[in-house]
Amino acid sequence: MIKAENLSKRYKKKLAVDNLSFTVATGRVTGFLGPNGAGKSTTMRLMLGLDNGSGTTMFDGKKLHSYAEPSKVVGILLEAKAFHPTRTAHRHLSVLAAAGGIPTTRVDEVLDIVGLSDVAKKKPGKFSLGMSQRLGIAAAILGSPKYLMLDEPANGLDPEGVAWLRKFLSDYADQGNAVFVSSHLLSEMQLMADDIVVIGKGKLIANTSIQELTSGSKQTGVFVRTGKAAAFKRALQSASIAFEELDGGLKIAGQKTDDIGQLAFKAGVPVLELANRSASLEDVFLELTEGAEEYSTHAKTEAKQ
Amino acid sequence: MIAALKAEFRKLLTVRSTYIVTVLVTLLMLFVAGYIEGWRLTPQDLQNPAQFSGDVFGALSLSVFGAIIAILLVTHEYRYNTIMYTLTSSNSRSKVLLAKIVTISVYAVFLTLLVGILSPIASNVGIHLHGHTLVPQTLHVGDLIWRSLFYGWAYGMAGLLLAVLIRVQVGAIAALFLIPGLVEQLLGQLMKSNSVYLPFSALDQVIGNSNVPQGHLAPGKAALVFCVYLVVGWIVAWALFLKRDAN
Repeated sequence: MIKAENLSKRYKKKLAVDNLSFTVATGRVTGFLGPNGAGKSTTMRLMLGLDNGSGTTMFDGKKLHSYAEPSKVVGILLEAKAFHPTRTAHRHLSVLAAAGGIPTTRVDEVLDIVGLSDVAKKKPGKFSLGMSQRLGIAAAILGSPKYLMLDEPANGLDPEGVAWLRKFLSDYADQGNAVFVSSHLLSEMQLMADDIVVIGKGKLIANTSIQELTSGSKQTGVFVRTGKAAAFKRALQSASIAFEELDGGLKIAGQKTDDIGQLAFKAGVPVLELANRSASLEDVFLELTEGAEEYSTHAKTEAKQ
Repeated sequence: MIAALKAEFRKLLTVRSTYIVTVLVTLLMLFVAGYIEGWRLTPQDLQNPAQFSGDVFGALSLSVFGAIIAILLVTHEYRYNTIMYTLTSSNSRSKVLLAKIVTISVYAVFLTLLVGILSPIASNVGIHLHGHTLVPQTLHVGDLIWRSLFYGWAYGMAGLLLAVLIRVQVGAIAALFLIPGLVEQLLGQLMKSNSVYLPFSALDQVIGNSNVPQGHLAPGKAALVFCVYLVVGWIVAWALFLKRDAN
């Protein structure tokens, strides 16, 4: 388990990460979400000891740099293009292998895993973003680490690449490892992650499973559309069931479709539509981070007004 | 520590710039030693029993290229952000820094030996091809070796120090040329004879070159003066390397 406690980082007057604490469980993919400028990358750098700030991050109860060979504990991908452009992909990885005390034979294995064997002897300076991401993933898994920390690894990948990444990370976590991955692709994250850490303006907003997060959303509930709305509202009120008007119908949180259907039948109300409505991760994300954006568009500001 | 060393050597040996610079140094040295210090030697020079020592010390001006390699080794890490891998692969930033110092020391010594051995050979070949003969040479081998090796190594360390302090390629290379070429010249106007104690002025005096007309230091003392600058500089650089964010 990764346990981050009281992480803080200040850049002059700006508090980029504010007393942030969360956990990342093994055997699961944990998504790391936040609006632009929320402090996700800074948090990852703090966790890895790349930036100096306050707080601690423990990997199985130990600080990363107290391990003799840290790259066998944590594999990182913080930036896709983090390589010397004229050092071939194979040589780039062989440098990292040497630094991590990893046999050079592993380089060919990871290049094969990420599908870059054919360009192993090519200089990565002209790699596409997707190929660079694959090289970054190869670097991250070079030491077969228990923990993977990936910052926006799906950026630039084609649909096949994204599907491959999703399966790869899921399989990696299933082997008893932990994957901590940030992404702006919320729909992708919903498919990829089991748990989620959401931050805004450097502060923790949520650290829970995606299922719990979406089920607790205001958007989740039973949606009913009826021809006699007024009568149905009275029936709900008499049964002490809270509701809210939404999209020309009523949204009722914390109830089952069966119970609401029977209630409508007893009240003699014709039901035109009755459905469970689950919040998407995007709905929840927008709910949670409302007001926590560092940068928002003018259009959005106007829409709020 | 061994892993960090292996990684630094692989970094050094897997980029084109290392080979380009080494070949460039060799070609420049062969031209200067073979043509200027060999083929074109005047009759008075041919009577100089210290001509070979002069060749070696003269060719050591190419040690600045060792410093450039040191700068590239460090600044490429920040420019291409591979520093994040370097610092998360090792359990100690001090080990990483020490590995860079050892790697550049080895390269600087190699470059000095390359220049120091080939330049008198090239000079001799130039002299003979022109049909001349040099008078028998007086060589103080031990003195020649330590002063040459120290000069080459010290330049490498100076380049590495500037790179760790500045971290930006252009800035570090500019500093490498501006400090001895401009800053020390200007300070020399103020410090007069005391300017022999300025770092690069002192280093030049290790191989007998002095830009300070008012005096000079003995090679041993000059080396000691430069070492004091290196030690102080490295204490600062080490503290910053531990403390700074890796970007």
